[in-house]
Amino acid sequence: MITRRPEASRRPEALGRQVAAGRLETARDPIRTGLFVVLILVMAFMLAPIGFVLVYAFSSVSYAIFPPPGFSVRWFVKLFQQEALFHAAVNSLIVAAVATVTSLIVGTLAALGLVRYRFFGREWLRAAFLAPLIVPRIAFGVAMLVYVILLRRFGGLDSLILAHLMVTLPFAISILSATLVSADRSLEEAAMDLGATPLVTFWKVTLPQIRTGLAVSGFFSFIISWDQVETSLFLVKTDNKTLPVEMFYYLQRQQDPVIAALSAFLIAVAVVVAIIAVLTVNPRDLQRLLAAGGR
Amino acid sequence: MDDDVELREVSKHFGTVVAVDQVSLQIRRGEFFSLLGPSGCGKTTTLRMIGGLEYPTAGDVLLRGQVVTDVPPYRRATNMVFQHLALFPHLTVFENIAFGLRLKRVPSDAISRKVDDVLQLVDLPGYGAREIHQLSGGQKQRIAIARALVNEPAVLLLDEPLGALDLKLRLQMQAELKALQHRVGTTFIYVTHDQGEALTMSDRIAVMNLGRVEQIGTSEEIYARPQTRFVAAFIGEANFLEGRVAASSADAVTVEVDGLRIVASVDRVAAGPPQVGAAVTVSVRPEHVKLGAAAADVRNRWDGRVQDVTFMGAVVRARVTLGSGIALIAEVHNDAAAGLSPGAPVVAGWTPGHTVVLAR
Amino acid sequence: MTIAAARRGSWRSVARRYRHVPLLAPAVLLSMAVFWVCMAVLVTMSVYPFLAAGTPRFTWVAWHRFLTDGYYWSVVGTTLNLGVLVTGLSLVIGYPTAYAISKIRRPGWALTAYVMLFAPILVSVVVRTYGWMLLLSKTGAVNYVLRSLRLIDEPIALIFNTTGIVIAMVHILLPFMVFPVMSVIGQLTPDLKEAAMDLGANRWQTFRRVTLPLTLPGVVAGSQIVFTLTISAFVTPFLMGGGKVQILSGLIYRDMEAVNLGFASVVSLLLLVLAVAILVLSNRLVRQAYARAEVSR
Repeated sequence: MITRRPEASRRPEALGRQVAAGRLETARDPIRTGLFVVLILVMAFMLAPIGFVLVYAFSSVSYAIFPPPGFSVRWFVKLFQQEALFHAAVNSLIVAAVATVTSLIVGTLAALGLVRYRFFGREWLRAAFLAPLIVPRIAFGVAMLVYVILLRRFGGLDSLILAHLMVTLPFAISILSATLVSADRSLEEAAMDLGATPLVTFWKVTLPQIRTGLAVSGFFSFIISWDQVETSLFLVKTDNKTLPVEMFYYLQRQQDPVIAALSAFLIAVAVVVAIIAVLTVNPRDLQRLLAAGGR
Repeated sequence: MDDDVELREVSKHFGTVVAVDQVSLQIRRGEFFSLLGPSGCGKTTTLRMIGGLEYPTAGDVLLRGQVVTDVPPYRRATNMVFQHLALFPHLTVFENIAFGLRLKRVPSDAISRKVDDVLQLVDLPGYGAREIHQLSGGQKQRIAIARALVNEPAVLLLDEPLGALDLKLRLQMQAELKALQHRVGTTFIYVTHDQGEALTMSDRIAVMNLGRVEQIGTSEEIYARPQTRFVAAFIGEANFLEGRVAASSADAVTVEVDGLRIVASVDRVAAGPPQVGAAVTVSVRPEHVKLGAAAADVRNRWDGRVQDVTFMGAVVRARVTLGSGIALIAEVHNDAAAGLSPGAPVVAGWTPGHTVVLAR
Repeated sequence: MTIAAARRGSWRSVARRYRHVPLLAPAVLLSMAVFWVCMAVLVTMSVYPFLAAGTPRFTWVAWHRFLTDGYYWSVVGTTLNLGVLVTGLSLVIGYPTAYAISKIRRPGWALTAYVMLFAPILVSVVVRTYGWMLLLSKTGAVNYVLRSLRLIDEPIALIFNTTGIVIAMVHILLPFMVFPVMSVIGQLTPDLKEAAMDLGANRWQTFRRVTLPLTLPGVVAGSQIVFTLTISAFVTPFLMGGGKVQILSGLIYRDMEAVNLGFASVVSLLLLVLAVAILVLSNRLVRQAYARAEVSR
């Protein structure tokens, strides 16, 4: 931020030099305005498809046309009659919940092991944990399918959970490692000095400190799992899909606004979650986390 | 067993770095014992090994006669006041102090009583409900001490606890800590790099350098009879002159330095009776170097010339060069500084009792 | 007494040296048992199709088919081309966006900007792609606006072609470009720019010689992420491409539908190799660029 210096000279040539040097702040700075225009346009760009889905959800006709000729909620009514979508939603919820909880537990343990101790091969192990992030999800989906067929466990939620876990775990480990690095070790030493065993120390001192990291990891893991298409695509049975996969197939069969109604519903949920997140998260913790993470 | 803490040949290696090198000490019950030394000398590592936060690479740690070398910190009868206090930010003052007691399953009413008592002890009665971030630096300091003391440890370990405080507060806390230790009677082991602090508060001091103990003694012993050049230089100030032992008798030793013969009392010679011809370093503190009329009747006395004079308030520092080229720093009281000006001739000297002879 | 001789043999000190093992074990076991084994299975499958019809045997047929058919190479080309287009556009849009956000002074506005940029991630990629399908179709909003403004007479094809894919992909991946760039911009202290200006640089020169080089690591990181995610993506290119634009992930899907697991494995592995190669190459290039900059100074 460039501050205003009250003693700045007002003579014309000095003014010019100072503006060029950025020491004087003129109210109408073209580059600044330009940047903010870009920002507004980008915001519009980001919200456009979401906005239009909402528009079509209330359209009175089944084909996509702009502007929609009339207002109607019949697609919402039809939505709640879709058994398959509801079943898929429940599946997604279960898979996401289990994958998230497991990522958090396994991820915290692994992050502790990676951050707190130095041992031979540590960096290799860290790279190995993060490797799944580079693998294209669809390639992983194919690999999982072959593996699952080999193990004769095709079609169940367990294979989905494991597949999603492989995708969410690297995020959890990476975020939790960053959090642990900035946690205060002297607090843990103080607890142990006062008589707390390592387990009690973790529970009473470490855990409260990594609260934000856990929340962010959990949040990301859930979203990632909930939104997974490519990984789930080949692992689902016809009658046992996850929500995004079900929506994907629905979109290929028919393009009626039922999907728009469902999307509107999901968007509403997302907005509520975003509001809750913004209100409850401690901005200082988050800032520290973002600074430490960087990925 | 009179010793609360004993270290036997304790060493700590971090990879190839030797942080603590075969340190042996005995600390008596009820003592205020300080570990003094510059940064990196191993004093904090030694303290942490006593507390169980580090484990020795070799050697043994004993508490009240029991070997506790491998015992984890939560099972040792020690408690530590950390350098940056390590107060739990998510707990109140009361809960911070009660932390250790709760883990020992002390009943609630006893906890309340003990916490109140210790808050009285550190002069912060009624502060139990406050949050940590509401406290000032000095207050946080006392809470950290309270949290440790409430557990009635056999030994209290303090890791440079006053470093973050301003000068006035530090001096005040030094006096309070000393008084506290007397009242409570617990053995205190105090780590600091500030020699003034150590000299004021301690019953005995261990001066450390590069992982080794240079000398252990009371404040007076360490100041007046340093046993190594490091101790002489680290504590207070000293002039150092290199020379050889010229003569040795039952009560005096004569050292020749650049043609000057300096006499020292035999009890000021570190490391036993010196061999004639041995290379030694003579050390004398600036405040013991007398100038002008005051130097009239001391045994070690020579003519010299004043190089420069600096007025420092209560004292005046003068750099004096003796005839043979030896440079000395003298510190005299400001009312004994008349006649001292750069270039002026002056007589400088000191008594044999103030001469310290150190091995080279 | 040597250190080795004096080292305690007590069980406690031995146990202490392996404290990290139980912590890392669950993650290691899980990733070994699932990820690494299944990747090994994939590799095996590409040369030894043990799940295909007929008796399985070791064969290079699938690989050979891919590597010798010009059509498949053109698909690789289309995929890489898409990656370049999306990454380039994300960079051009994302860098100024990141810069603009970092210049917002009031924290309330800054937070709003963050939220509006990153919140769409909460919405499923299927939903967002659907939104673009609606927006860009011949009867959609974009064409409607363009025609009302009399900029065009006939609706232009913005969907079922590369253009539509690029627009939708940029929307999906823009946050991944903005985030790393914003991180490095945030690390710039204002005194660096002030020092440059004090030494006589104008705004453009300051940007080119100070801001840009210092933010380059963020640009590289963002580009790597966006590029890898683009070539790996399936849903958006598939729906927006409508079968007219074929990229590698589409090939995989097609083979899986045809239960051609052996060939699908080959294409999957190729996609993986491509992603890794791009990462390694870009890291190497960046390091070389930095080294050259050091030498020329």
